[in-house]
Amino acid sequence: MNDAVVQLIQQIKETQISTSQDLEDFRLKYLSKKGAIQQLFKTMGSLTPQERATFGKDVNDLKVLAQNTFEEAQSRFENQHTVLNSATDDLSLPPIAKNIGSVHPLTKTLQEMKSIFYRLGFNIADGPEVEDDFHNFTALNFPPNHPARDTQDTFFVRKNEDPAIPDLVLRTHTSPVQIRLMEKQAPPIRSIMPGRVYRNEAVSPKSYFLFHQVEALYVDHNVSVADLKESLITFVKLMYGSDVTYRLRPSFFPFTEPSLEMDIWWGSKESGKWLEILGSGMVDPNVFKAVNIDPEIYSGFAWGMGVERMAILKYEIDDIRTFYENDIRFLHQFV
Amino acid sequence: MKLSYNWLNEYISLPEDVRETADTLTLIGLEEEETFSIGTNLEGIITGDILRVEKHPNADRLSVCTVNDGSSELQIVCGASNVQVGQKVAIAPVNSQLPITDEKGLPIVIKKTKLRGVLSEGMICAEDELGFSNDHSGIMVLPENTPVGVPLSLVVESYQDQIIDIAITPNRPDATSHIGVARDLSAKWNTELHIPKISEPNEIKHQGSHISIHIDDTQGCHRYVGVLIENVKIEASPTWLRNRLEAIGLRSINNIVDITNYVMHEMGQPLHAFDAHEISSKKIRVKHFDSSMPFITLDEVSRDVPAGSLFICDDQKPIAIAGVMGGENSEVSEKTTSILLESAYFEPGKIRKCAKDLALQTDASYRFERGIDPEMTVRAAMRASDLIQQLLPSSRIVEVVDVHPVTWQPTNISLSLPKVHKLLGVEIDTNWIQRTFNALGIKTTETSQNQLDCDIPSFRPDLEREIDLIEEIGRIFDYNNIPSPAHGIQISTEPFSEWETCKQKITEKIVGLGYNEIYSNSLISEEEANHFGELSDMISTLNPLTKDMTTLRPSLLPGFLKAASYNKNRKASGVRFFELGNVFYSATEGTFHKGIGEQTHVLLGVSGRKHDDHWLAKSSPYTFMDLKADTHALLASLGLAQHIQTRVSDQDELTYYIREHSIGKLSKVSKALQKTYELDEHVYYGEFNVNMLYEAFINQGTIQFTPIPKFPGIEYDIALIVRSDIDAETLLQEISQTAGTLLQKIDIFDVYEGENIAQNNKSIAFRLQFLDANKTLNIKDIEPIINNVVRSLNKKYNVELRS
Repeated sequence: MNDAVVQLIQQIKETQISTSQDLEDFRLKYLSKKGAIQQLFKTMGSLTPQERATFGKDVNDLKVLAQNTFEEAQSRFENQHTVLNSATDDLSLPPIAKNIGSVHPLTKTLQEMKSIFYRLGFNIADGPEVEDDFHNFTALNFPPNHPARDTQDTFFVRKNEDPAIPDLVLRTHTSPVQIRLMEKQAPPIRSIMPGRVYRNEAVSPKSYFLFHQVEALYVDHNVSVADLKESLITFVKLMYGSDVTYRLRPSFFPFTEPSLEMDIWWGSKESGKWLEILGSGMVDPNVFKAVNIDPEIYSGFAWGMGVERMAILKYEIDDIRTFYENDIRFLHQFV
Repeated sequence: MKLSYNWLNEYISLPEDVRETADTLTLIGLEEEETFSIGTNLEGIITGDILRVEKHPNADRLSVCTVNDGSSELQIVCGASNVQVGQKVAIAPVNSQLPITDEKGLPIVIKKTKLRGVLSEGMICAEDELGFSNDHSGIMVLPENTPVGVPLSLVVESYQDQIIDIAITPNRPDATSHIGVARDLSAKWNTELHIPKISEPNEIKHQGSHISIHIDDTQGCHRYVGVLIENVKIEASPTWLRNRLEAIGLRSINNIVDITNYVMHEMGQPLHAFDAHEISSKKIRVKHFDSSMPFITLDEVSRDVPAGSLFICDDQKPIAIAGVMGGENSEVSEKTTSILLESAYFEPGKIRKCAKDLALQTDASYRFERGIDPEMTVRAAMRASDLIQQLLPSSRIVEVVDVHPVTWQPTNISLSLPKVHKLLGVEIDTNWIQRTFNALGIKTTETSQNQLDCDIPSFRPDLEREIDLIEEIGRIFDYNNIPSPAHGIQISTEPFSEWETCKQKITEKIVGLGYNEIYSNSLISEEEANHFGELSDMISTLNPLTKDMTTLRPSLLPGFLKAASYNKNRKASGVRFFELGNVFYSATEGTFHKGIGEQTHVLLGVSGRKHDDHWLAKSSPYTFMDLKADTHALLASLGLAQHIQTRVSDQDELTYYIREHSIGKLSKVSKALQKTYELDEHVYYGEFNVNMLYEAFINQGTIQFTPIPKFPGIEYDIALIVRSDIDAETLLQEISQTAGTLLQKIDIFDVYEGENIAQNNKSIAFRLQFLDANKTLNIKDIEPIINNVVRSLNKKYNVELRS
């Protein structure tokens, strides 16, 4: 190997490139047009063809070595963020924040409930918030002097003596949508009916004069309490986890017979307690008669639950009024 | 309703553990609300004698007492005002533990302590501190002859019991008594029920010779039994009776009143005792009055009893409000020597109305309004008479009168066993059903293999139909024991309703645009509603509890403004809210009901600052255009962009149309309204009718692919000078209509007025994009189009090209 080549290899290997100036110096010394390597190439014309072949290969190898050394150092510098071009090029500066959209916690809870019911094969229906006496009470088997009809619990919108003009109320539950659905659709019916309902009550941390319910209705041939129970259990397991502890107990509602309620165990084994989460039952034959469905042919179950209650349990919210204050610091927690 | 465990145990043998019973009650539909212990063992509490009482040097309300505890003198600081020298009292000495616990349920141990600088070596106890009652009005003073220094348990009777408070559903009048509850438990546990023996009356008269009873209102009163008892002596009740009543939270009054209460809580029949001497001419009439009637009840309250309410009267005056409360004028008192015991059946609806009108629910009305056992009247009266004779052996029953204009009609129901299995979804053994029914008082006869004939007892008016009997089976069987159905969960092929899909999509898209959803009240005050239109166009509630909830919202705007204001007051720099909800208005035809319009709306609202001061930009407020951009993004993402037209309907309002129907608007909130809600920054909102968006949404059909253009388009800019009063939308529409089908898109890239532009004129610069699917366009292709557009604009709006 040519001495000059050997010498240059030695030099390149020993060069320390630690600043960008060093790098530039290196480039000028070895890799530029007037650099040492180009100079060697220029001497090739004076060589014999055999010498030229060997020499050419050696110089080429040298060039590769210089180039690799240069690129290695260059990439080393590029990865060092030591030099800033400008103060605003600082990528760690915060951007202008975008507002993150969110649904209200009640919508969020409702969405979760809807998706569970969707898995169970239920459709979604709705109805008006201003409802007539027939749909809100009579068809649901409320006797004429039932306490729920009292003015104390019900907001009346229209009340008169003329039997041809129905009394109007703000619906006290979502059950009237059951009636509307059964009036217009023949069984099988499998639907949930979410919506806003009203009770003429004083506002407190535990109660508000409006809230939201979800009603579920299933009418078909041969629907039994066992089917109801199976649906309830599937629902609570999907809503609160498959290890949820629950119990069913008999209850009373005018529009179902038998009627039952479901409790879930809330809190630790020692200090927890049973919490009522929903009311349910088999559709009362009188309700079927009110909508011209033959109770000898069809049976069905219905259940209803409060969305606020579900959300309060889920998010451990301590005051129902929080839902209607719309404090942005509250809303942002439910993105 | 409170149940005493000791009392209940008289009728059915109960398990040691009250929890087991409480849980069982819940599972058979008599839901436990609370279980607690009462009474105390008084361990460590002793009697003492107060020797001296001095004023506390540092506290006006405290006294420093010297108390003899039998062996030494203790100094005790006491806060009660009734403390006096010479009183015999109950003392909790140092290191003793009170029989009660603190709020956290932890034991209270008495310590030697200094109270306001004075040493106190124990506590002089009040009744509540010993668990006797809730009385904390002063220290408990023992009789004068009480020995000093002995355990309190030797001189004061201490009674311990456990109380289960249960909630009774309105269909279960039979369960409003200890025997009624015991009956349910005996059916559940298959154990024996012990009913006390009640003597039969010697003679039941329908017309009394000493007392005459007449029922005028036979609709209100189906049966009235009166027992006249002479030679009674009114005195304090014996301990056993007091304990029973006090355990369930009743105050002991006297032997007679206590017995009537005892029988009511034992059997469920409310009784009333009149002082027979106060019944003028010994005549009882049950009637109502056509006008309202002032009446003083035995709680010494004068009440205005509404017309139609049922009264018990003598031949001169009302003496009791039937089924609710007796009168002061005929109340049993110390002077009473003869009584008339009333045991009656009053019609539930009538009593409920009266109690409700008077806002007076009593233990009696609570039972009557649910419907008591119409066949129990004589037995309950005799039970009370037995007890009276037991306490007062010299008393004498003069006569028993039973007036019975409406007799109970027995009900018989045929129960199909296959139907039981079909409805409950489980096969239940017929013998089990029969046994359970018999325990519940339902007599059964097997008429065929699959049929039971059931005689319903008089105390179960709720059992009217076959389905009610099926519920009884399910109730006692326990729904938790019903196995999963063999066929599993069924699924449905029905798609989601499009209405639901539409609403969900709207919500999802708006959330994607960075808006936070709010839920606002749909009932607002009239005062607030006034800002949003004429009250006569709105729907109001007739009986709101407060003035804050009178009117149904005619728009989602008040809710948004309230939320914006709430957050502004809490230093939020800006809000970006939306709500989806129903609004209400009066309408001739109405949506669901004549006269009532009810539509679903969506509102998007912005107010305040988009962002605060930032290194990239100074803080900037939300503008109308921010909201407009979001609105158009929403409409486009719903696939509705091409159906929408807008029109400037007011300087601060842009109305949106689909096929000439207004679907909503964007608007800047007026200064006045801004002030009402104390908002100092501009507020912009858009409100749209979702029902109308939905119509367009479902009619848009499925997505059809359009081929991507193969040839490049061409852009052409024109700047126009127009009169200031011509809005951009007008020009855009005119350009679209005259430019023909090659026009793909128009943008406005500059709007200018001022120097170089004549007064009352402005310059608007448009960028037009043309595209031909079949060839590359060049300038020659579109020049004629541009000329045409400009000519037309010039002709219609006197528009000039800006050179």
